[in-house]
Amino acid sequence: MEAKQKTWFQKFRQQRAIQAFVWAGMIYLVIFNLIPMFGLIMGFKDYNISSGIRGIFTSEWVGLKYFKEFVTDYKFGRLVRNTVALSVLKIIFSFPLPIIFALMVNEIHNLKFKKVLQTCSYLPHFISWVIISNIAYQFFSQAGIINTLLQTLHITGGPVGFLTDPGKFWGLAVFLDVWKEMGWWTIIFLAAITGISNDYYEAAQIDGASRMQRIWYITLPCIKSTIVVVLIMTMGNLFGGGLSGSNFEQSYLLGNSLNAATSDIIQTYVFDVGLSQGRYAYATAVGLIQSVISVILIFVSNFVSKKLAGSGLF
Amino acid sequence: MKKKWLALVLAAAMLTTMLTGCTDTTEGEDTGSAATEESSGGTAAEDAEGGEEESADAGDAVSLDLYLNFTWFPTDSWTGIIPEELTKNGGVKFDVTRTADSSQLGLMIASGDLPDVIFTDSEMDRLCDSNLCYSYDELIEQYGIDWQPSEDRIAIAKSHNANADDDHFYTIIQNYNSAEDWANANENVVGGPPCAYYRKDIWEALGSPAMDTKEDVLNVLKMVKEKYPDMIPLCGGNPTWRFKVMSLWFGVSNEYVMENDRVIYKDTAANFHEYLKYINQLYREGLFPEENLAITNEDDAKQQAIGGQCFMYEWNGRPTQMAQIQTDLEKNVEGGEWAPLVYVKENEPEVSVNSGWAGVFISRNCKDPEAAIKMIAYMNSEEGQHLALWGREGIDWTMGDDGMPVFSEEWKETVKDSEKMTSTFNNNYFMCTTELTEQYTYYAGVEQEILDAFGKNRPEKQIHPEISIASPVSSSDEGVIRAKIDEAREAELAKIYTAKSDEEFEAAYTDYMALLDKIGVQQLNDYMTEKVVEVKEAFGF
Repeated sequence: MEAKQKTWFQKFRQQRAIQAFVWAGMIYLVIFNLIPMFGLIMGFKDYNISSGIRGIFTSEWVGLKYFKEFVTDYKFGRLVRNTVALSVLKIIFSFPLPIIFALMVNEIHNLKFKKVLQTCSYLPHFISWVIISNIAYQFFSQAGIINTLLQTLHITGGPVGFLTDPGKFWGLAVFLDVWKEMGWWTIIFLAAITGISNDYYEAAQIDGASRMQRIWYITLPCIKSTIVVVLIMTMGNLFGGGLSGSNFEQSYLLGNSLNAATSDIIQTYVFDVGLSQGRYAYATAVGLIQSVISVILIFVSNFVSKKLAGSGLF
Repeated sequence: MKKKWLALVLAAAMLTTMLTGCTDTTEGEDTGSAATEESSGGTAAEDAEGGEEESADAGDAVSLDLYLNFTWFPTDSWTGIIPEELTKNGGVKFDVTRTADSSQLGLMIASGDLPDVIFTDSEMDRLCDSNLCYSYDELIEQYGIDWQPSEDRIAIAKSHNANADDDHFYTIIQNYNSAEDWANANENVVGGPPCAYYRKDIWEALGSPAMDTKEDVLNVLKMVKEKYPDMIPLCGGNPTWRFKVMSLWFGVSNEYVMENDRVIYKDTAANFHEYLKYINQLYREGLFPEENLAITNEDDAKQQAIGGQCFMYEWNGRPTQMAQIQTDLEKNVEGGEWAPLVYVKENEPEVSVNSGWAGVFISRNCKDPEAAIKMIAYMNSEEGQHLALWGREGIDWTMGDDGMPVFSEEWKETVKDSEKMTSTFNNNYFMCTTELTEQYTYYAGVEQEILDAFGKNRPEKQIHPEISIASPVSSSDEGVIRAKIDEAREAELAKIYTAKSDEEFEAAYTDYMALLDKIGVQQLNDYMTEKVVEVKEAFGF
């Protein structure tokens, strides 16, 4: 037993530099992710901010009062519908496009063009949503470039309410999300593609495989595990907006009273009731409902992935 | 070995960086003297560097943070003749921050990271809390301040207390005058209603058509649309004043109205349907673009007015503010001229709650609460109020026979340009002033013709401060109902305003009324009706 312990300590001592990094991350997780989870009990209590941190533990228990209030609220159906619809649309469009784009970029042999294309495609990732929403206002407003163009070319008779029509919000949000984040996520998939041995491709070429066949039978199966990991991570953040996690920013910045019917989502609601109205307990309950659904989605997607693709995250 | 040490140092640096967010930035009372010394030291250093203009008094002043919770506030700097004089007399120099958006203060409350002094019209219920802010009465007593606010002002302040059993008051709401004050006020002054300004030059070019009734106004806007197709006939973009003038015409401008001996939420009043119908008619005639409803920043809407893009613009009904948009318009449109729209003849009486709208709070984080309460007491004094809004007595103004200030020529010339006024005098700190003192600022020295035009806008005004006092605090059941209505209102009204047909309009209106019932508006109406009676009895209004 003593020898075993000694070995463990020796191992630890040998790894102390690496361990220091690991523990830094662990401490970060404990402080910023684990400890704040105790605050979730606020959702079951009649908590008031003026009672401070102590109040989280001393305030009166109210059971599921706030959970019931949310599910019976007039906005509940609309919020859930908008959150799910926006998130699912983003998964459908934002998830496969970086993979397709990575496959396309990988097939470009002109290195200069490839680099320019990659740089241009991932640069929008570094622009904040605040700036992008302002650009969107300039482009898509009724007097903006897009509407002017549509009317000048007689494609539309009058201005299109891209920013005001509830029927256009989801499309606009998904389009902006793809434009902003596609290039960035392409890097991940390109890195995975780069790791594939050239031997496979050479062998396939000798066997007479076409370019599409090489993509289909070599590239895609070889990056399958990367795709699965990214997909599970995306599913875990489904309600946050998938890969980019941009649902809140988009709804907050591009949402307005005219398109509220489709732009109001659970996150903006939590922000409104929690910070604008100061109803922290209620906001906690609403946020908790969303988190529970997200956790369930992670387990479900991991299970499905294991069944279908044979590999999962855990 | 070196590499390992380097790795360890890097890991430690990473950890420290990650934990910086854990630093407690809250400064307690005991840091007050240090902070004061620090600020004095800073000023002294500036003086030593040749800041000759800095007076000795200002150098001794305590430096405190002031958070202005208004995105539209005209200034974010404690500079200019008036702030410097206020510092000399009140002993505090403010380091001003103007909010970037309306939710910032909520975040500060949640994080406990409040600035020294806060001037706000929202979150007041939450700030009226002994855990977050100092109460005025305790500070007045503790530091022996010679200031006793009137009973009615204390009652109005207490009506915002988070805890109904709390007997302290945490602010004094500005912009309040009693009914008696108003009865004795100069007759030319009209108490703060909104005003629709219209482009007089365009109106004259149209042949000066009548604008005496709601129908007349509609017809004139239609004429503008026909003759000037690139112009927005009515700017509906100002989020604070959007369609306020029209709501005044229909008697639904205040949050609560009195109907059949009941105090009810305005959207449930009988006239509200007619008001909505009118706005919808404006929309269906193409007299305002729907994108106007998406504007959330007052400045964006104002740009349409001063850039010559709209014919009619709603704003504060004040002669000097009209003069300011006039100056701004002239920079962009040669010959452009604004005039105030006289209220249409069939006006409904305006119910004015007249109990102020914003307050100054001293947070528990305040570096020097004694200096803060002294400054606030000074700014609430008659001398402080006059200085804050009118400038230096004897230099910038003298008291006229009619009870209004007579301003110097320099002041009268400067006030026409809002930017110049702010950079020179900066009379924007109306944090502790009454409505009448403020209105005198805007009405004094104005030409009789303009006074007459604004004077016609004096509706039959009913003053009911009890309505404001009776309003439920946000943590109560009725307060939650009120918040939920606010949350739903904007989007629902946008649907009704922009309905494309009568059927769509009626359906959207019916849906909204059903939604209000579902949220619990009747409970709010019952509460207000009962509470107003209680308040009237308690305060003798």
